[in-house]
Amino acid sequence: MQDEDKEAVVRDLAARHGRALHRFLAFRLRNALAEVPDLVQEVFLRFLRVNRPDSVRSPEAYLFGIARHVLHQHRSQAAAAPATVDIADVLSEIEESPGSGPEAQLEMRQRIEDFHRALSRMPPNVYATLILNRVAGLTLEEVAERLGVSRGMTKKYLAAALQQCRRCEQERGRDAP
Amino acid sequence: MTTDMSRDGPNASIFAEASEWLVDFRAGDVDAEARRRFNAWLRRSPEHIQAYMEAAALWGDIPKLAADMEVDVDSVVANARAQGNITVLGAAGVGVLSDFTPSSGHRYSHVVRWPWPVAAALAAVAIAAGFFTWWQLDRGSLYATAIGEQRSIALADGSTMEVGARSRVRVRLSREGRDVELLTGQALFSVAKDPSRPFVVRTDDTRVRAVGTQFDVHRRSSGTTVTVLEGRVAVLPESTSFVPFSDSSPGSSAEEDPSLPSRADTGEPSSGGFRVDRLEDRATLRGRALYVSAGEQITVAVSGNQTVAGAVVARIPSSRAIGTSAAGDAVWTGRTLMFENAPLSDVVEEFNRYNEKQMTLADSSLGTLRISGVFSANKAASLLRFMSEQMHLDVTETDRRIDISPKSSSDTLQR
Repeated sequence: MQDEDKEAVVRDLAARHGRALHRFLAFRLRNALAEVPDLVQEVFLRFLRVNRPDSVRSPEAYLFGIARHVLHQHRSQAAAAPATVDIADVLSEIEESPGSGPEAQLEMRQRIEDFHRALSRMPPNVYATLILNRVAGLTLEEVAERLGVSRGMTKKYLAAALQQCRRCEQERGRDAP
Repeated sequence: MTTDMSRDGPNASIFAEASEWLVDFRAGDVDAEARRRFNAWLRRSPEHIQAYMEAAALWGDIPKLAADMEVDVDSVVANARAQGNITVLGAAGVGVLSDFTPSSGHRYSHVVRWPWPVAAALAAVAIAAGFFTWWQLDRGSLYATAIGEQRSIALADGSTMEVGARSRVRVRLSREGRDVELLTGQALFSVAKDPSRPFVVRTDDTRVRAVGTQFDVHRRSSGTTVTVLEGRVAVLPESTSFVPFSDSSPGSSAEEDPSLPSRADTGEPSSGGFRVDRLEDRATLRGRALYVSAGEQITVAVSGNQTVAGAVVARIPSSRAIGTSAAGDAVWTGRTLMFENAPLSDVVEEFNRYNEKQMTLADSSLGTLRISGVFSANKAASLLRFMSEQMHLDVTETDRRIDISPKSSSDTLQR
């Protein structure tokens, strides 16, 4: 029961602020800022404390929910702010930090380049599956039918596409001084 | 692999597993047993958690990273299917969708070069068909569906749109606004809240402005129908001759005038050709905009050249609030078409969006016949039977087309 309540809360948060939050946390994860050095560690520890993880219906929303909570706590402590930190303040900060500013814009441009480089290296079927499903919005079943492959195969293609995207982002990381 | 843990985060094999889990979840393929295995997997180490969160963030970012891509589904498919039996020369063509002309000086217009092995010396078959092009960001992305095809598209701002069959939608997202052009057909929009960037859907004759809501826009040759499922939108007919109740000059007052709805009820066609048949409840007239709320529908109709001839706001009975309307708007996502006293011309236009075999009305006067009923969008048979048996029309079906004409006199005599 309690777990479900907790889950409902974090899922609600994630649903309401999902995208900004994902971007924000992804930015943090990639850049490992000193401000939150052990974000992942902390999320992990908290996740271990969940009594009935199987009842978590959306692990993704749940993880990001925990991460948001960790960040939020960290911030209110760091700022020695009163206990009542308005979620709206945190969010406006979130919206500002990774989304705008020259640094973030550069990062976004680089990521778009990385993405296009990754696309250019994908085998045609992997490329087609990613684009049809993630960009054109076709369902897996539709993609499978159009490409003449099994649905299971489209899933493998998608996982492969994600890995290629990540490799290209890492390449840039290594090239950087 | 030369993976540097401290810099790159989780190693490639953990990330690979994370990607597979993520795809399983997105595909809805995780049952209770798989969920247990996934939880055990997550608990192995912080790297597993990080890998999964990275994969999820990347997955979520892809539409945004691809925001400036224009995708031609058929070309992508043809191209993927062609692999293996056709050798393609390196710089395969750049596709130009027919109604786009590349503007000079666009920032993004790079050519996609395919990485496939090129049999260098061979003058092999080059596929002339283009694949896609990147345009300048503010030209936006074009989404097009074929007959009978429907697509759900997640936009970079968090909004989604369900694009109906045989429809074309162009989307431009910028810092200032979210601009969507419905070129043909129909789309259902679920708009993510962002007060600083109004979400505007345009057709030739109408603009619909929303902040965070869910609504359907259907463009027909006879006009544009807007159905609101959630929230409230402002509908602004575009025609210059649209001069509603002329003594409220456009934009003169930001206040709602409670007298307007009653005037609308009795409103005679003005010299400008504008007429409101019925205006109910919270749909009020303000300046040039008509506000339409959840459960309501408005049709901005065109008659003659560019005159907006009539606007009807009808309240959808609450028992059917999700999903129906006079011409099947907003139920179409279930591929069911529902008509209530709809002109046959609209019904035929609807069916033709879902079926390769096109229906034609032999006589335009048939178009004014009224029809009610619920039909499956891609099975014309029940509609044809209905027309033949209930409406006493002559239905001639060939391999390619369906002709609908008045019953010939001999048939009438036989009855």
